Amino acid sequence: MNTLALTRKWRAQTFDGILGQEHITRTLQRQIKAGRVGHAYLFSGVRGTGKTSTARILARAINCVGNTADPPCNQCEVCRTMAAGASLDLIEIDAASNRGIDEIRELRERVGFMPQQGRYRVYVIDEVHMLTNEAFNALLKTLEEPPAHVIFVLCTTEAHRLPDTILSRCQRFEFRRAAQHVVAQKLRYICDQEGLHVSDEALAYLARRGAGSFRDAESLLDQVAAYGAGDVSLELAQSVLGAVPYQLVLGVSRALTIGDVAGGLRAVAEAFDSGADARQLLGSIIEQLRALLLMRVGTSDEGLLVSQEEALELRSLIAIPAFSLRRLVQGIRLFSEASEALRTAARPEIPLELALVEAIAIDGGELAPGSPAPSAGVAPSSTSVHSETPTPQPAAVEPTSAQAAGTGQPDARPVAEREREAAEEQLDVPESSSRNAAALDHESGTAPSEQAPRTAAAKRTLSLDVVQGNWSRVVARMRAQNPQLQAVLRSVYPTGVTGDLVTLACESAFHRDRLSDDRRREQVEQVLSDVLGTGCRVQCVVDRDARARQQGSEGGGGKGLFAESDAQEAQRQQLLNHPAVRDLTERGGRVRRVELDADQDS
Amino acid sequence: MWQIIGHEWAVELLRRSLVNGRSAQALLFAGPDGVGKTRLAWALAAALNCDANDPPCGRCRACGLVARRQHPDVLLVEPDGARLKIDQVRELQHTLSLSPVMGRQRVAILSQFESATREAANALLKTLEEPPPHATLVLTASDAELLLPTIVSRCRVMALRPVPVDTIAEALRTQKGVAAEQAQMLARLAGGRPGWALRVLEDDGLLAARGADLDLLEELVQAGRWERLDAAERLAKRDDLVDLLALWQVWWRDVQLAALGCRDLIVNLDRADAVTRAAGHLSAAEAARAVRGLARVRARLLRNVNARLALEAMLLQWQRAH
Repeated sequence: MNTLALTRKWRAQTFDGILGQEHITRTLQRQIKAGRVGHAYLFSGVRGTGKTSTARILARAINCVGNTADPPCNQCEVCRTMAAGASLDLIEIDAASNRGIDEIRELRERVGFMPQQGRYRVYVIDEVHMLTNEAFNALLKTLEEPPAHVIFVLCTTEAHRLPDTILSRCQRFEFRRAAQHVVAQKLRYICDQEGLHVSDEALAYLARRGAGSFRDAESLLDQVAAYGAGDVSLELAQSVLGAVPYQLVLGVSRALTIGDVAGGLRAVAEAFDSGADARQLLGSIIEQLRALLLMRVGTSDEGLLVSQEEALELRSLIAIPAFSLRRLVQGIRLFSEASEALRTAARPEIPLELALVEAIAIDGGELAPGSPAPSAGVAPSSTSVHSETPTPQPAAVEPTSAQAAGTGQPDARPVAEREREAAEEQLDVPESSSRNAAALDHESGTAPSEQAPRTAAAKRTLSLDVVQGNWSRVVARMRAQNPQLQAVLRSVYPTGVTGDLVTLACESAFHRDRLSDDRRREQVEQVLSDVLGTGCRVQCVVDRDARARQQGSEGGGGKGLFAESDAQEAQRQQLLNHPAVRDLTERGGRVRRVELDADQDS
Repeated sequence: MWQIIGHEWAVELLRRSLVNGRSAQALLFAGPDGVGKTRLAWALAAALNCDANDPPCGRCRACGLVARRQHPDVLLVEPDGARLKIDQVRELQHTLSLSPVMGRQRVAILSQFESATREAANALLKTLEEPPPHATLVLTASDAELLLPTIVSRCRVMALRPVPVDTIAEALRTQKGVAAEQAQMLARLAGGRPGWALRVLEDDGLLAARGADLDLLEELVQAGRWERLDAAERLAKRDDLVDLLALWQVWWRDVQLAALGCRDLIVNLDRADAVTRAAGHLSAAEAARAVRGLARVRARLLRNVNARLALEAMLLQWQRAH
């Protein structure tokens, strides 16, 4: 009574059937014609794009004895036994279940046997990323120089997990996500073969949900087909797959962009009451907000995945005077983050409500109960929209790094190069503010015990991003003073500033101990003070990934570390000044460590 | 006779796919704890082995065996300890390769699959994609996003949504004979999870415990630092801490909504007074911060942080309402 899943039933059987991967299939076909088949291939790429299918087709093609210019013929005996899974010349190994060295040893012993029917024995090792290290190593020699009649095809979705020694021994082919219309084309083919009546819009919708994976889209088609209604329209497909109607989403988008908190909360509740799935609702909200953004900044409607009625509604929303681009951008960001929070939320509506409330609060300050946020009604449309345009928007649309803009350099160059140049530049703070810093510091520097009251003033002058921005200069200047110490400094990164006390994160306890030695520390303080033009002290802590976080966020653009660590610093200050902590210190406690987790806002 | 509370669309989809002979061999039921995933999986297992015209009939031998969890061809694979391990998957692969003993289909229900180790999940990939002809695999997970995309891609995914309050209330009345008022209240509190309401019916200690936990929360909100630190020490020892924090998160969410003028959306109806009072003292932003804080601590507890420290930090951040 089980029918095969569509995706399995309509697996591609010829190279031409592998859609969207012409760069791979053509190369393979050419190799076969020229008789230059490699002995080890690696097929990597996203799920459901044709890796395993291509491997099987390749195995048939090189063994095919049929009379065709374009093997495999799928007619001859060899092709047929292989397709039936009965051939001894096509060995498919599930590396995820057989991941140990013993299985690979067994494979090695058998590699010597000659093919039974065809010319080659083909070993397809699927999910190869799951092999243990020992198994990989045991495979190396065989993979490099297999007997002439053996061909290996390794398939994986996670090529980054393979050792370099494996990668370098294979011809690597990267399978790409397929374009939406290509996936739709495959779905159309399946529908025709199966006698299913599905509208073009419905197929386009399925293909889009599949996100470039044939299998994902085919699984969805399977589900729609299983419902067994005669003609499948877009609406039916959407309702079978639990999509959220755009009108429900519109309530949320409208409330967000015009700053109506209570209305937004009710819209979320309404969507949930009507049985929307949290993830789909969230996805639809983000998609609609994105469409709003693109329309607002003036892209043409083409390529936006919205129906005409929806586009019309969105246009009239943009025309409302209270519409705020800033809240829109903030909303996109916060709703995108909410997806993560859904995993641990006590109720699925909570992350959505939070995202909505906070996106609106960003603009309006304190929230007034039950009424639109203050700014919404007050600001006239033209100014509210236009004055906001430059700053927040590019950050969301394209990652123009804030740092790159600051130094006037394009961001694409290697970090090392940028660091070197930064080192030769002048201090990246306005002259006056750094003088202020110096002045203030000299005034209050005499009374270090009175730290708490003056931190606010000092923090304004010596801030973390100034220290971080000039860190490479500090490292560079240390070379002249003490090359060994410079080597240590390279694996150290400033992560905090409290008054004139700079916290340096060291990659290991070894580095921290080296730096904490009085003489060396004084040297660092000296150079740091010179560069910054203000006296500072240094403390060292161990924090292995401080720099990684920094570099990660540099690459990501958008939300730079500088902003983040500034916020962290502010929070740190807040914690230190927190009445509870002060309370404890006054009772004779000592603050040994103030800990802040990187995922404060997750 | 699927006997599922809510999820009519899912039942309909499964029923129609059986009728149309397009039953999937790999399914994933996703949804929060107690929403009804495993129940639906058992019902499907019965349907796959029942010979009646509109399976499951609930009367035949196969249905009876499945209902008693004794059917030899239906097996439940649960996490072994905290995780589902690769050896369990290997054993399952072996069992599934054998023909059914008495029924037509071997059905494997892999519950809480998000707890599977990376090795176990990967080991299931090939089986999931090309199962033996007589086998059906049903995975359940609290959220599809917690699984490998390669796993999800091989399954027909059915995301079970929270069940509407009225549906749960009605089921409690008609199936369990609960008085209308109590049914309504339980249904509200269940947060869309019929399983929770049913558990409460079997064990009224749960409801009392919930009341006590909320009492404690309302006390703590008005308490000073020392009481809070004290409480953190006691709470850290509880083994249902994650559930407690979920309960508290919903209470704070209610405060947030009340502060924003949406009293009608409050979940903890029996606590409406305390919630409104707190909303009078605290701003929505403060409540929102508390909601986020609870999510954070919950996430961390799942990663084994020091519970006491995490609780202390969280409790001290709450604004005092008095």
